[in-house]
Amino acid sequence: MVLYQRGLVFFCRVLSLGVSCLLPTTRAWPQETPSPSVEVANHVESENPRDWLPNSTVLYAQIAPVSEWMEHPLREWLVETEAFKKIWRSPEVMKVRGGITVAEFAIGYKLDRLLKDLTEGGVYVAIDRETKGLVVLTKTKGEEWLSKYLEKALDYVRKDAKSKNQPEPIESAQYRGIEGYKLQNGIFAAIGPWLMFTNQGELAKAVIDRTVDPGLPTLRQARWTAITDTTWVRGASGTNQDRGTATASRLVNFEVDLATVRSVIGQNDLFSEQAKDFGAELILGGVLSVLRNAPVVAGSLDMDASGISIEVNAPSEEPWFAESREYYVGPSVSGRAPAAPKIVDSIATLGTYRNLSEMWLRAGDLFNQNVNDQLAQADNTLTTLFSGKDFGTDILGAIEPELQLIAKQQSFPEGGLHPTVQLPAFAFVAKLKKPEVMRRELKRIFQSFVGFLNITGAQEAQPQLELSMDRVGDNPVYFAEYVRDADRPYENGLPIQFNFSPTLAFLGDQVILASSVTLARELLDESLSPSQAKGSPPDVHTLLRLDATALRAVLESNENAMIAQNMLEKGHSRAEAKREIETLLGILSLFRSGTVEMSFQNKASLSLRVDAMIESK
Amino acid sequence: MSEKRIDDTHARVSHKLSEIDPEIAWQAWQPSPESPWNGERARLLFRRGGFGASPEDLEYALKHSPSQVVDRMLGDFVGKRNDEFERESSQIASSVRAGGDAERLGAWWLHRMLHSPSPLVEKMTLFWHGHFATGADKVTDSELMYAQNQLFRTHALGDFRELVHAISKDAAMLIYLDSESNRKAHPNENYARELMELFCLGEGNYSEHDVQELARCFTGWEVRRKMFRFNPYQHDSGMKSLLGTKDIESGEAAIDVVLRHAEMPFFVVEKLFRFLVCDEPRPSRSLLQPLVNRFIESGYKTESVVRQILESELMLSLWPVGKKIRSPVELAVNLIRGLDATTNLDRLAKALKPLGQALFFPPNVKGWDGGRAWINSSTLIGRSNFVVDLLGDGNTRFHGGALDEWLKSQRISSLDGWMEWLSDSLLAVPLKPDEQLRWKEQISSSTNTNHWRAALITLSRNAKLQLS
Repeated sequence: MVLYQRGLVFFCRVLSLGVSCLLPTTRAWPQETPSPSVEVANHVESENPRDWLPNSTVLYAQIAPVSEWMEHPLREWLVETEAFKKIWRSPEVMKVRGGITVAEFAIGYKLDRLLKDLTEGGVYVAIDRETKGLVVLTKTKGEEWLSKYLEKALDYVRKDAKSKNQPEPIESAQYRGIEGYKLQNGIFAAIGPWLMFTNQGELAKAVIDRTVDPGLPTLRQARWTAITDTTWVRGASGTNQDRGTATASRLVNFEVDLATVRSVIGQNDLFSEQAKDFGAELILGGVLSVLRNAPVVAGSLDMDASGISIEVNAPSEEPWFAESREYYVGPSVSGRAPAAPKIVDSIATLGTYRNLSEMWLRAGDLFNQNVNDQLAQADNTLTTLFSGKDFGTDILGAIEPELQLIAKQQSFPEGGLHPTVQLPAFAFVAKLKKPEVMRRELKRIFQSFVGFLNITGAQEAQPQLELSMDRVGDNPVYFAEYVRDADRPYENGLPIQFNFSPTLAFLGDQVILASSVTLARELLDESLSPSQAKGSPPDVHTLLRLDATALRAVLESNENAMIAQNMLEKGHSRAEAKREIETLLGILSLFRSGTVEMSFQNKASLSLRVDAMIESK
Repeated sequence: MSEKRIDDTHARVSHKLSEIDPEIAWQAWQPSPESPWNGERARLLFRRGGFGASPEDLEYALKHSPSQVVDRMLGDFVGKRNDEFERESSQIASSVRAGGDAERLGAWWLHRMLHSPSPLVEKMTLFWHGHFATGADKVTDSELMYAQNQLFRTHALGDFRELVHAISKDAAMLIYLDSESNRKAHPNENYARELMELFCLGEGNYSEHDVQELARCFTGWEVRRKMFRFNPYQHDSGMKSLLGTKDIESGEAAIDVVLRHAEMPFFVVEKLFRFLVCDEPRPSRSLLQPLVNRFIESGYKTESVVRQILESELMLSLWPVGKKIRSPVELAVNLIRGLDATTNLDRLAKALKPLGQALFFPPNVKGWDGGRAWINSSTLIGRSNFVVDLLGDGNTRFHGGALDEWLKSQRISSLDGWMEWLSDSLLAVPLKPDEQLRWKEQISSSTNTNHWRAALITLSRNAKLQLS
C-alpha cells in the first residue's frame, strides 16, 4: 500500500516537482474569473513560448524532449555501467521503482512513454521577476492526448484522496476559457497541446493572457533578450564543434537577465567591488568583474557519445575590468595561459594568467579592510621568511604572470611503509623575469626555508628534513627529504609529513617548486622531451584539465581514511560508510576526464566551458 | 546467602546511606520473588556500568544474570575481545590522528562509547580521564592525548599501582603539569603535589615537606621528543624522606611509598563509589571498608571493586536510582543508545563543550566536579537545545531510518505509547501522574508539530531526565 501511494504521488507530481521545490511559496489560482470570451479559439496561435512569457522574465531555458535524453547513446552507455547498475539495485531506488510500477499499472501508461509524449515538442522553463514565479511549459503529443491523460490523472488523484477520506485535493477554476487546476503547491493547465505548470497563479494568468492577446509585452520583446542575439551567443548556441562528432546534440539552452538579477539581489558579496575572501578573488576576480557588469549570461549543455559539455557565455568589455583587476586579465585583456606540461597520470594540470605581484600590491583596492589587515600581517611574516626580501615586489615580482600548477598521485613502494594519509604531489611552474639573478636568490631562500622548517619541526618533535642536490641533464634540483627515526616502529604508518619532499628546480628561465622531488624530476624530464607541447592555446585565459581516473586512484588509496571519516561525520556503520564511499568512487569511475576552460574570445566575451568526458565501456 | 537485605521496595526513600549495614551493602545481590531481576535493575546496571542500555542490551540482560551482564560489559577482560571492533576503531583513530586535531579525538572516543562491546572499559577510561585530568588545550598534541587515552584503557580495570607508575611517565601528563623539565637545582613541585593530593591520597594526608621531597625524587624526569626520558645528570641523588619513609632514591621508589600509604585505597575506593553509586552524601569509612579490603586483597585491581559495587545488594536494591546527575557525556550517549540512534559524532563531540564536558578538555587538573555542578540554568537550557539539535541533524537516524519508521518497527503508534516508552527507557525515576499530565500539556502546546519529536524535546527539559 505504501508503495502504491508513493507511486501515485510520484506519477501525478512528476512534472510539478521542480516548481514546488524551487519556489515553495504558492499562490492559489486567481479567484476572479473574467467573463468567458471568444478569444479562446485563438489560443496557441504562436508556437514559441517566448511569445507567451511576460517581458519581466529573468531566466529562460529550452530543454530537449525527454525522448532525446532517453535515446541518446550516452544513456545506453550509462545503464550498462557497473556504478549505474549498483545504484539501480540499491534499496532506495528499488523502493521508488516499486512505486512507479504500481502507478504505471493504475494509470495504464509506462512512465518513460508518458514522459516522452508529455515533452514531445520540448520543455521550456522560465522564472518571472514580477510574480516571483516559475513556469514550465511542455509541448505534448497533441491536444486530444493531453486532454485524455490529464483527465485520467485528475480522476486518479481524486479517487485516491477519497479512498483515504481526505478532502477534494484539486481546486479548479476557469480563466479566459482555460481550465486551471491547483494540486498542493502546483498549478497546471492545458493550453491546446501545451501543458503549463507554475507555482504562481498570477504567472499562469500572464501566460494565458499572452496566448490570447498578442499585443501584450512578451519575452521576445524584452530588451535583454535582444543582446543574446549577438555573435557571441550565436557562437555559443551552435553544436559542439570541438568534439566534432555527428552525434553531438544540444539538450539545454538558457539565458539569464543578469542586470535584473543584480538589481533584485542588490549589493551582496558576489557583486561587491571589494572582495572579502582572498581565495575567491584569486580564482574568480575577473569573472566577477564580468558578472558585475554584463547585462546577460547565456549557456548551453551538449551531449554526445563521448561526454557532456556545459558552456556559459557573457559579453565582456575591457572597461569593465577596473585597473585593479588588470592582474587577472592582463593589459588590454591580453592575459593568456601557458601550455600545460603533459605529465602521465596527472590528476590535474592548470595553466592560467595571474600577475600575482600586481595583485599583492593592489590589495588595498581589491579587498576589504579585514583581508588587508591579514595580508599586511602575512606580508611581514613572508618577508622575514624570504630572508628580508619584499614578498610582493622581490619574490612575486620575480615571476612572469603565466603560471602552471600540476597535481599528481604519488606512488609509494609496494609492501613498504607509506603515509597513513596519502596526498597527491603538487608543483608550481613559472618563468623567471631575471633568471641569472633569481636562481641564486631562490636557491638561498630555499635553503633557509628548509632550515626554518627543521627548527620549528624540532621544537614540535616533528621529523627532520635532509637537504640534497641533484641534476636532471644540466638542470639543478635542490630538494629535502624527511628522515625516519631509526628507533621508531611507525606501527600506524608514516606521519603525513612523509608525503612531502620540498623541491626547487630550474630549467632555463623557468622555476619549478614542487612538493615532491619525484614530480619535479618528472617535470624536468618531460620539459626536456621533444614531444612537449610549446606555446599558448589561443584566447584561453585559464585551462584546467582533470583526470578522473588518477583522482579516483588517489581516493582509493585513502579509502580507509574516507570510510573512517564517513563513520564519524554521518554516524554510519562501517558497512554503510563503505557502501557510500564505493558509490562515490563508482560515480567517479563513470568519468574519464574533465576540462574547465575560460577564454576571452576576441576580447568581446567571456566564455566558461566545462567538458566531462565519459569513461568508455 | 545472608538473609539480611536492603528492602528495595522502599529503598529509595527509607534508607539513609549512613543507616545501611556495610556487610549487607556489598554482598552479592540475589533475585527473589519480591525482588526479581527485571528491566529496571538491568537499566540501572547499564547506566552505571556503561552508557545506558540499547534495546539489544536489555534483551540480553533479561535472559542472563547480573554477573553475566557485568561479564558482557567487561568484554575484553573475560576474553571476548571483539577484534573487528578494535580494528575498526583503530582505523578511525588513525584517520583522526593524521589530521592532528585533538578535538576530533572526542568524536573517535564517542564512537567507542556508543559501539564498544566492553562499555564498562570505556566508562572506566572516562573515570580515569577525569581522575588524572589532562587537557589538550595545553598539551596541544593529539598524538600524546591519544596515547594517554589508550593508557587509561589498558589499565582501566587493572592494577591501580601500575596505572600510577605509567601515568607518572606519561608525556601528556608531564606537559600538562609543567613537568617536562625537572632539574635538581629547581625541582618542580606540580606533579609531586597532584600525585598525593588529587591522584592517590587526598588533602591532609601529606605535608609540604613531603611535596618538596617527592619533587626531589622526580628530578631528572623529562619529556623529550614526546617521550619520557630520565636524565641522570639532573637527578637529585641525595637521600630523600617521604611520608615517614627514609632513604628513598628514585622517583619510582617514591611512587611506591605513596601507593603504600594507608589512605590510598580509601581515597581511590571512595572516588569509585561516588562515580558508580551516588554523588552525595559522602560514604562513611565503615561503609567503604569491605570494598577497601577487597581492593587490597585483589592486589589493587580496580575490576574487583567495580564488580563488587555493580553486583552488590546496595546497587541492585535500586537504592542508587536517581542519586547521580548524568554527566553531559552520559546523557548524550545514554540517549543515543537508548533510542538506537546514530548521528554525526564530530558535531556531537563539539556539542558537549557548552554542556561542560568536552572530552580531552577537562577544565583543570582536578577534572570535572560532577554532581550538582553539572547543572545550572545555562547547562540545563543547553541540554534541551542539545536534544533539539540532535533531532534536527540530518545525519541522526534511528536504527538506520527516520524516527517515524523506527517507532513503527517498535510498534509504537500512539503518543501515550511513546511517552510510556520514553519514560521506561530513558528515565531513571518514573514521573508522577501530575508530572505526566504536565508533560502531555507541554507536548500539545509545543511549537513542534511532530509530536513524536515534541515529546522527546519537552522531556529533555524535565529535571528527571538529568538523573541517573
